[in-house]
Amino acid sequence: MSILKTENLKKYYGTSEENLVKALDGVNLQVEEGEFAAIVGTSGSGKSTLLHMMGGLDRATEGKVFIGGKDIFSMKDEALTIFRRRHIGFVFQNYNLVPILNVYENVVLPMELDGNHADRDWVSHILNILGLADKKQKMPNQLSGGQQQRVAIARALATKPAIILADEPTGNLDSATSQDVIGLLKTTSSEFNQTMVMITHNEEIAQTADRIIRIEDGRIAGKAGDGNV
Amino acid sequence: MYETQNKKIISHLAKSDLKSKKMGNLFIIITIVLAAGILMVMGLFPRSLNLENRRLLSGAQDVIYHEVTKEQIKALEQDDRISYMMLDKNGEEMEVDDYIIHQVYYEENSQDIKTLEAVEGKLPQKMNEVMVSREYVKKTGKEPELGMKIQIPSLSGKEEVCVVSGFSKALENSKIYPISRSKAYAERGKGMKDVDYDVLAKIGGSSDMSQEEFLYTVRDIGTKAGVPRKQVNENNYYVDTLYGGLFTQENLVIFIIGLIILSAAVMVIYSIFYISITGKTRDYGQLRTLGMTKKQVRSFVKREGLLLTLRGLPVGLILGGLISWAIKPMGFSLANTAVMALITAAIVLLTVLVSILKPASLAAAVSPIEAAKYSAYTGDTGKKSTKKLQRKLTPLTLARMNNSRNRKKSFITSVSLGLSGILFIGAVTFTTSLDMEKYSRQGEYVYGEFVVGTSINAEEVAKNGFAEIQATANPLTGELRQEIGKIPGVKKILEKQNATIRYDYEDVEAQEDTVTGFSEENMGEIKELLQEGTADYQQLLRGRQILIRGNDLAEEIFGWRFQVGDKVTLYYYDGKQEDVWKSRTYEIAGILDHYHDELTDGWFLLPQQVIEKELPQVNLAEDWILSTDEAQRDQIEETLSAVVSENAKLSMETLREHEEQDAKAMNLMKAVMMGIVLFITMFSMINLINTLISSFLSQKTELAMLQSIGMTGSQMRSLIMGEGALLAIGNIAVSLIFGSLLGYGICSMLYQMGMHYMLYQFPLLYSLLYVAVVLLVPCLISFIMLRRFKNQSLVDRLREV
Ligand SMILES: Nc1ncnc2c1ncn2[C@@H]1O[C@H](COP(=O)(O)OP(=O)(O)O)[C@@H](O)[C@H]1O
Ligand SMILES: [Mg+2]
Repeated sequence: MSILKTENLKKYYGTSEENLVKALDGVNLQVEEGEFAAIVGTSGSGKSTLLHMMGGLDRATEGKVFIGGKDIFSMKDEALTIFRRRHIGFVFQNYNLVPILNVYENVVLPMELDGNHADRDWVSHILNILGLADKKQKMPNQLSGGQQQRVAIARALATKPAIILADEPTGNLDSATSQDVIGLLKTTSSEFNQTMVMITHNEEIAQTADRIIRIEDGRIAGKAGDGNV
Repeated sequence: MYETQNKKIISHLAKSDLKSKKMGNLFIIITIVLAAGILMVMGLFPRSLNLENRRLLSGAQDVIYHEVTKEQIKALEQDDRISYMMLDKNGEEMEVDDYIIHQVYYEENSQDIKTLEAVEGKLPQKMNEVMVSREYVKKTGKEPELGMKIQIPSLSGKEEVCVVSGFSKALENSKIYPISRSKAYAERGKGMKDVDYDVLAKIGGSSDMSQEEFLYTVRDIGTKAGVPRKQVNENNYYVDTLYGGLFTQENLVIFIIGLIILSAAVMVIYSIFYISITGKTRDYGQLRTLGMTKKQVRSFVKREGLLLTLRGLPVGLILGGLISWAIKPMGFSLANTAVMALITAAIVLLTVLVSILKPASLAAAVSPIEAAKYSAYTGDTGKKSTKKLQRKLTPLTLARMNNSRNRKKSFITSVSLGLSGILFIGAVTFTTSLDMEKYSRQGEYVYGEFVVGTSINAEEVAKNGFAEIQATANPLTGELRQEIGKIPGVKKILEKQNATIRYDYEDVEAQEDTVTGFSEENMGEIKELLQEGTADYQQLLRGRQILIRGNDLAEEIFGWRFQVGDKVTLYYYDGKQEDVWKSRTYEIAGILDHYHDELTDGWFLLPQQVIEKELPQVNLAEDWILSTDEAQRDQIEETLSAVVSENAKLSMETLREHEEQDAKAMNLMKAVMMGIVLFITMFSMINLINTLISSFLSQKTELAMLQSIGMTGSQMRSLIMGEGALLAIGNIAVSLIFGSLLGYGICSMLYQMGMHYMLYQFPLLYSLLYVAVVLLVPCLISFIMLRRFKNQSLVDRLREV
């Protein structure tokens, strides 16, 4: 059963005829549980828009997104937010850490916002895997870029989400660190049987995915079932 | 060449940068406008007031030499320090129905000293000609017409037929109607020939004199012409407009108020620039990456600030000038305004430069790489790590962490908010603590609400003044007292007793005054109030010693003090023999500063027994003070005025009239005070709004990010509202606590100074209002900001870095 499915997904920007941008123009897509899918495509092709729609960060102009069989756009804003923080983990290119909170607090924040106390052992386990065990009480501005991104990953994993959506998580990192981070993402997601959709510009990284999805002008260009084109 | 080009680029950049940051800049401009405006108004106010008074007094005399002889007039004419003088005479004053007529003579009406002007017809020339107001003729029940004949009543009971030669304007808000006589009448007329002339004079160059010089001059002129000091009556209003020295109480008050306003203005300007510049550090870093040097960044920041200042400053100066003009149109002077505008501009520019200096060098010091990471929001959190692994994480605790993130910024905002809050609460405490009822009830009204006394007519007709009335025909009789006592609602009648006497001391001869009696029971009080000498009741009973009250006032009026051990001669009139006053000489035994001030203003105190021995069978009653039942006062006033109007020798005054007059005067003062405070409050509100908005804007992406990881709308609302509320609550606490302390301090200080109508009262209503506004403003701002956030999609906000 596919955990994530889009149906004729469209996102148009602009109001008038001339400045209408069809960022997504009818995307049909299914991602299976436990799958690692890479999204590739030229800049401006609509990759980020697709990811945002799938994660319910923004609403589509037309079409539907199902997560675990649930039509997420049928939910009200408040409910969608809560659904998102329970089932989806985001990793952004620019880490998006809260500067006034230490590493540990950043990681547990989504759970705290949900009114739950974090499972300390679980969080420690994640931080250990990500090599942040000795940085728990550091502030974000004391960390390197790679370390900050690992914190963001830890945050995305901490709620044990079913799906991880990552938008160029290594875009700001050098290639050695990039390999590290991707390696970690892959290990943890397979360890916890999570589904992962990742946008990347890096062909090498894309090749390690179960599947590559190519986007061109807001449409899916071609699919590869097992990572080979 | 390179340099100038560079400057051009910087100024161009500064200008275009300004265009892109409209909101924050608007606040800066408003702040500058307000700061310049209030500094102008406050700086100009004392000067305008002075100038207005001086202009209003330009047609008034500098000094009057009372009751001068022909020789003294000649001598005064010889003195070339007098630049202008004229003669006048004050004839009899008489109450008719509910108004008073006053016979006067003025030599002329001139630009130098304005007296009564003939708005129609001409000034009286012939013996039987008079000039009156049309209103007066109407009061007598006739149609006013030039050349008409009117009957003028006089105290002797005979009426005189006069011809109206001209009409003058009626005095404003006065019950007194002057009847202006001719020179011929002043010289030979029955009612005026025995009255001495007064000289009204202007002193050459007096407006440049100090108060001290002026007083010396007018007194010296008097001395040289043989006019005794007590007959020299300088125009006190005019003296007040003269320079009184640097360290007067008034100047001190002005200085303190000015300092408070100035520091409030400086504080707000500083904080608004600080916030604005640190909020743009990132942009400055970008300029650095583009190759600007530190120095260039610094001058760029400075130029940006100055450009904004120059936009706001002229508006503020003009606004300030206009407001000053509107408040005191008579006191407006272009020269003063221009000077004040220059001073204000200098202060504002200086403040702005100083305010920019620190944040500008901070901005310049940021390395390009750091700047890219820096947001005002991030700031320098100052922390490297936390002590705890995890603090409590709720929207409210996040709000608190956020507020403490930039301590300096919060501190500056809090201080300027707190300061204005303190001023606000302090000022309203003052106004609510001023007990208007008590204020109006000073003096005799402490004891009651109505005062019945003798009318001026009674005094005018009595040759020996009030002493004769007390001795022979005091209208305050026992029967009348009984009659008044029977009026329903009159609870108690307090008789104010003082014996009218005349006395000699120093240069004062046969001056009318009063002696107040006391009994053995009062001795405790007297001993306590005694400042010099002794007070022994048994000694005083012998009738050789006397006590003095109010020496400070004596010094103010006469220039000398009563001295213990000196002799003073009192003259008593008991009415047994017509026009005969008997004299008694006393030694001054003791001096007290105050004694029953609400019931007497005489210099002398003697045992009641001594007074009664000198004035047997004399009715010493001066006034009756009626304490009454509040619910029946209107009725009492009606009945009482009927009783009083039956007897021409009686008159009455009411607390109600006093309260009305006082309320008018006080409301003006309160309004001015509240105006100043509101201005300052507006200042700090702008500061608060600016702080909140700039912090929201800098948190925009961060809030979006929090949302993206699952913060719901309601959680965000509590985060944002929480931040505003935290600022507000701190401010409220500081304002209420220190404002109350300030208000309490002012009240008790004024109370100590003798203003017993200042009773501390917590300004509940105003405080609630203040709390409401201070809480509402952040809520409103949060509400607007959240709305703006909603209009933009989460993804868009996430994108903005
Ligand atoms: N808020 C927006 N308003 C207008 N156009 C937008 C907006 N967001 C994205 N776009 C446009 O949609 C297209 C797809 O953008 P995006 O999904 O960010 O591309 P990618 O991530 O593949 O580089 C681009 O042409 C972009 O300009
Ligand atoms: Mg993208």
